[in-house]
Amino acid sequence: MAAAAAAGQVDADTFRRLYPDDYLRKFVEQGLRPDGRPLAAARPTSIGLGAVSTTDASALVKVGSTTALAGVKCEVVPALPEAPDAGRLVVQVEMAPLCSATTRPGRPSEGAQVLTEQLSALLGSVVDARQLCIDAGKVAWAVYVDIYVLDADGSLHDACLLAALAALSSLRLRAVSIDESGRVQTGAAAAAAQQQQQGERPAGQQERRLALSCQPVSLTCGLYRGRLLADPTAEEEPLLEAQATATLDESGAVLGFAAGGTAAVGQIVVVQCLEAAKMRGKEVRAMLQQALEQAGLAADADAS
Amino acid sequence: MERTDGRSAGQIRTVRCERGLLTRADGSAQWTQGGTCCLASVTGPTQCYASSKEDAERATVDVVFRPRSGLAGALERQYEALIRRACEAVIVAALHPRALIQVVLQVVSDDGGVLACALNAACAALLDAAVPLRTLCAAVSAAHTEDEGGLLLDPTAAEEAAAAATGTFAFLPLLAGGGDSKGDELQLLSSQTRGRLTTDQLLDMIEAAKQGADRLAAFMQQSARQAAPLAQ
Amino acid sequence: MAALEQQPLLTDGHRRDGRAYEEFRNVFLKTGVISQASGSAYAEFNNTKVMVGVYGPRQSERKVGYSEQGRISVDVKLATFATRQRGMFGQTPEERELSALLATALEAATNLASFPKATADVYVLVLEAGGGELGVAATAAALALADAGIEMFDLVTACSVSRAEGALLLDPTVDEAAREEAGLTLALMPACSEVTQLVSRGPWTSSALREAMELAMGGCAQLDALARQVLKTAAAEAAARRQQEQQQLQQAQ
Repeated sequence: MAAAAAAGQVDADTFRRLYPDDYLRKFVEQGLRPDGRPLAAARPTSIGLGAVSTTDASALVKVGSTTALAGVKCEVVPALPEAPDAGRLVVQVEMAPLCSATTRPGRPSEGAQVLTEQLSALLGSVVDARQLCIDAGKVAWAVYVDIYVLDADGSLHDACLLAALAALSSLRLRAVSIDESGRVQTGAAAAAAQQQQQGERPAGQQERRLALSCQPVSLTCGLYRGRLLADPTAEEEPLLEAQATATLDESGAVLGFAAGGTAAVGQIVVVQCLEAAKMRGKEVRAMLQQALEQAGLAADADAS
Repeated sequence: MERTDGRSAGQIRTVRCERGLLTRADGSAQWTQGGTCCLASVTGPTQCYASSKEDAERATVDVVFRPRSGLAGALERQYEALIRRACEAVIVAALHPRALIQVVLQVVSDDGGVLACALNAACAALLDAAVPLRTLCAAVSAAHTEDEGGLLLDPTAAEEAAAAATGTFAFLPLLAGGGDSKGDELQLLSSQTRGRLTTDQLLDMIEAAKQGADRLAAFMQQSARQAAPLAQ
Repeated sequence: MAALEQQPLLTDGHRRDGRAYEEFRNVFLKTGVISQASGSAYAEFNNTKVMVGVYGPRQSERKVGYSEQGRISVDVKLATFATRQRGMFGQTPEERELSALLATALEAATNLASFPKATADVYVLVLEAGGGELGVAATAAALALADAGIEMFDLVTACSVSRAEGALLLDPTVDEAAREEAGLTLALMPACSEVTQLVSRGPWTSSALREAMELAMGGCAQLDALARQVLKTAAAEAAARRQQEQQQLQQAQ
């Protein structure tokens, strides 16, 4: 083949750009990916909590080169008349123009909107909005989760979901105190006010964590020449015949299975994808627990 | 399992397909499944309006999804992305380089399973516009309810709201099976689920949806043959 | 207990965070942080965190028209959680102003004639706004342009100076800048000793202005040494990485 003959004369970088499919095929045939990992392995992942001090909670997640930063800000808002005993969780994903060559400043791209929709639905089912209520019918918490994709190197859903999960797991809702005139104070001022109110009925709430019904973790897999590649990079994604993102919780229940592509897949591939996602979930949850413990924000630390 | 409209668990609602309703479009179809109805119109292959979207080697597919009321938001973008990928899989795009094939979907009425209905309407409209297709694509929605662990195909809006999990699945049912083991004949093209399911429940759902899709594809083929009978 | 806003900024020759008047915050600079970009840089000055990605030189959009010189298009965005009050998603007038100022700061240092008809897109995302964003963004953007391999006459480094409570403070935090009587931000090409951008706020006497400018230029020279070191390290690492990839491909063949 002309490509093979020419390969001797061009260097690795040029070959990679001119013949991306041949480049990938050479590696996959040996059971490896271009970055050296086995077919079913995800890229090295790291979770950093508390990256941004102006937020109430934040998490920076890197899956290989894909980087997502989730920042959570909480505000006290008046309760909505149609949901007097619930607060609000607003999730938004933005692909910053610096994350890839195709994103531009201005209106959110289709990719960002699809991710926003998927993560809103998922996190809305994981966080019960009723726990965000402060005073039924009057005030409630509005929790804004803003996820910025800083580097779009494939499998964005996995990184964004993990960042949001890490940020929400490390979130502490500040103490709230409400005095007779209805004035609401949060944080240190509330703690001081509550001490003063000790004699009367204490109105308001202590500082507390958010209760998540489960810890969803997703894994994106791709089908290439009949082999399953886990966690594809941006270079591999256009070459895949089909792609599937499976989101599982710690008990192995499937919270979302989104598949798409130009080729149809069989049941074996679906089962393989779910299995890979389950393994990945275990490894990621352990990583998250470790990160929370290091930051002193784990659940057990609260009991003391 | 008793459903309010008297169907069995694996029964799809009455399907109706009308073609050629719009005179200005190259192809159009109205697909009705019970109370859900979608109108699809296809224009193309035609010139790309933005050269940045043009692809020198194949046709570009553009999908617009309009809800029944209100403005299109993030949910509609998600539907558009899914329908576009399904259309790209089915259309022989290499036959029309630099062209644009635009599919516009309008929800006429929504009684559950609107994404599946829209996908079916898009496929029927592509047939009506005589866009070269590799094969037919059929989509089915399903729901899983907590009580009696029931799996329902083609749920109504009320059944979807009461379900623990719902999903929409698209298949390529007419591609020859050919696989050695039974599992390879699934031909799942795209899927989207919401809610909580165990792995077995998900696989059962996909299996049941495939059977529904087979029936839908047979109906599509029949209706295509009626519209354009082969010259003798 | 007096509220934080009323406490004095300066006590006994030290600022609230323990720094001397002419001391920078802890500076961290790194290039090559975004794999998809032609060039990128991350700058962290304690609580001010800025990430910059450069794409290009690439084809200009058609409506901009033909030009014998290249163009630098800058877009600055503050993350919604960057400031104490949650921001909006659209671009605010402050962001537009920052974009325009940054473009001026960078254009003078870049050899625009080396990429005619093309545009280098500089995208800046401020992750946390702790004071002096324009200065930090300019330094990071210049590093990113250098990382992208775009020809430059010199690096650009920038910093801010505030006059508060009678003293000149280098690299003010957001609290110090809020209580300043006057302030300025200066972008410098250190090797040529040319100022590419000077933004001043509030009333200055000419001698005070001169003193503040000299303080700022000294600060920029300090940053320049650090920036050059960062670029040298990054270049060495990139060469080593390329060699490793070549070996991997040969093994696969």
